[in-house]
Amino acid sequence: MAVIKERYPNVPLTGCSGLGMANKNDYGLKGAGMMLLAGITAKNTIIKRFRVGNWLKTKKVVRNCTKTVQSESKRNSNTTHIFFPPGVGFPKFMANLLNHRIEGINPFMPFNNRIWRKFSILSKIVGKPTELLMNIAGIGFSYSSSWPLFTQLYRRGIHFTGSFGADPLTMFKAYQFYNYKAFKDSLAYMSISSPNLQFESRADSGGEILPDKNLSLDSFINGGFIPRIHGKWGADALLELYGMENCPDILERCTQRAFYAHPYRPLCVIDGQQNLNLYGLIVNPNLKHALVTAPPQIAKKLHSNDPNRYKAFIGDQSSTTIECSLKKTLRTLVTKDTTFGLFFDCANRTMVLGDKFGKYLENFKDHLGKTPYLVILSGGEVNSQDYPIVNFTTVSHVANKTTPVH
Amino acid sequence: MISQVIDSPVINSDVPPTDLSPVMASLDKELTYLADFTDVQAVILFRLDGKVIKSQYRSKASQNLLVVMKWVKNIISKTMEELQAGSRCIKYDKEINRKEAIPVYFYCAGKTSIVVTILTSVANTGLMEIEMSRNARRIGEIIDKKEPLGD
Repeated sequence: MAVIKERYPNVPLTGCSGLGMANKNDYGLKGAGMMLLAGITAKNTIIKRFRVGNWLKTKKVVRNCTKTVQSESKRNSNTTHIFFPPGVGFPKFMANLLNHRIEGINPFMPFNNRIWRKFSILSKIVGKPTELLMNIAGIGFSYSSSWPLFTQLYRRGIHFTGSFGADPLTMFKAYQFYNYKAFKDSLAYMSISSPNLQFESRADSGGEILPDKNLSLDSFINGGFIPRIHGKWGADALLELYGMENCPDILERCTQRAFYAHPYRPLCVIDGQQNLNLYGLIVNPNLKHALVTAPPQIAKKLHSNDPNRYKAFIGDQSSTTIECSLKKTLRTLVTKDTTFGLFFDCANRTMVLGDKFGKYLENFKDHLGKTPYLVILSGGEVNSQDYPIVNFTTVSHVANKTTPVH
Repeated sequence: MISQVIDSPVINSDVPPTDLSPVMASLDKELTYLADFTDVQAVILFRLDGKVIKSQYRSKASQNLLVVMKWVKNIISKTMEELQAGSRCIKYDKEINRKEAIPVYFYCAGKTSIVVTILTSVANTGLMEIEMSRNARRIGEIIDKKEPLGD
């Protein structure tokens, strides 16, 4: 940050820590990437400790964003917002326990009681205070605290994209950057306006639904716990759907290596507008519940008792489908008039790609050529075109020059 | 400060990196970059005839690492045949005991060398594959052109 400040002393700067980054020259898990935008009006803001008292802070951000859009539209100027909400992070001790790296300790022992399956009222008594405490301490996924903000912006038709930060490999702590300083658990965002640019974005998952593997949750606890699916313990039912019930060794190894057990089968949620949104499903060998990375506001709608429920299926995502979806996105969005591109790519997708990642990045080079672009590997994506918060997805954001009206 | 010295990877050379030729210094930089990841136990750069050009390993390495390194030396000639036949990468899970298996990756670096990376048993292989393939490509460029990389 000191080096950037020395070289570009008066530039409004916004960003977050990501799992990796790439541009046209290089890529990697370590390192830093920066994109400088010239000829635009930019205003950046930071809301500190966004996870606590977020309903008041949400109102403030929505008001500010609406004002900016209205004032800029009077000048025939287009506006977009790039958000960096509080990131995903677990303290070292908790991450080690989740990874099953400490012998003889089962951190989830209290959750393995049958009482959780039978009395759904417990979810309200225990779930909400737990979530509040986690938000105060800044632990775990922050999707629930950011959900009201992004749904409100989505409903108002305000254009935005963004990324949840994460720590590379370790998942210990994520940071947000605002004007040469780093903050934890804060919301940093930048409003960009220009009369000469048209901002376009798109979210593509490359996921395929497995229609015979539908999923309806019998119960749900705040924090992502799913005690019961199809009348069984969540973990057992999920492994049966995956066809992995007889291979505990693979499960154990996945847990240790990829932070949690992840057989790369995402949860596909189809909402009322027939959008396909992908979220992560997790099984931990210590826990009898299944876990889901979807915001609680979505997971609650997957209850079989909810009349307005969404449809959910187990999905499939491979390196081929991921690459095809990216090609489709780039073909649609990138034109001769594209001035820059910003891409938020889910880190889980890169795990699916593995060492094909270098080849995958060549697609960006082929389509964008000399146009500057930046790819950020994120811990969750935000966009206004599809559903506000998604996983396993690439959110593409490009700026195209507008043709002057005579 | 002391802990930093202990944690830093051990290099199989008595010559300080600054005194090396630009090509060797560039190779050294690439290997150090990979060895600095916490998930990496050792990085070895083999010549096509099976001789070690450079290697780096964790000073806190256990006896298990020595077992794996010996196994790598035994298996390298067979692996070379596979890589020369066109394989992009070869991965083994070397079982140390019933509970522990160490992932070992063989990557073709250019036309005349192989990079072997030994990870920890709990390493995030999905993300590390990205870094290992990138590193092997860069080392290949250095060896083939016999020039250090520009950056």
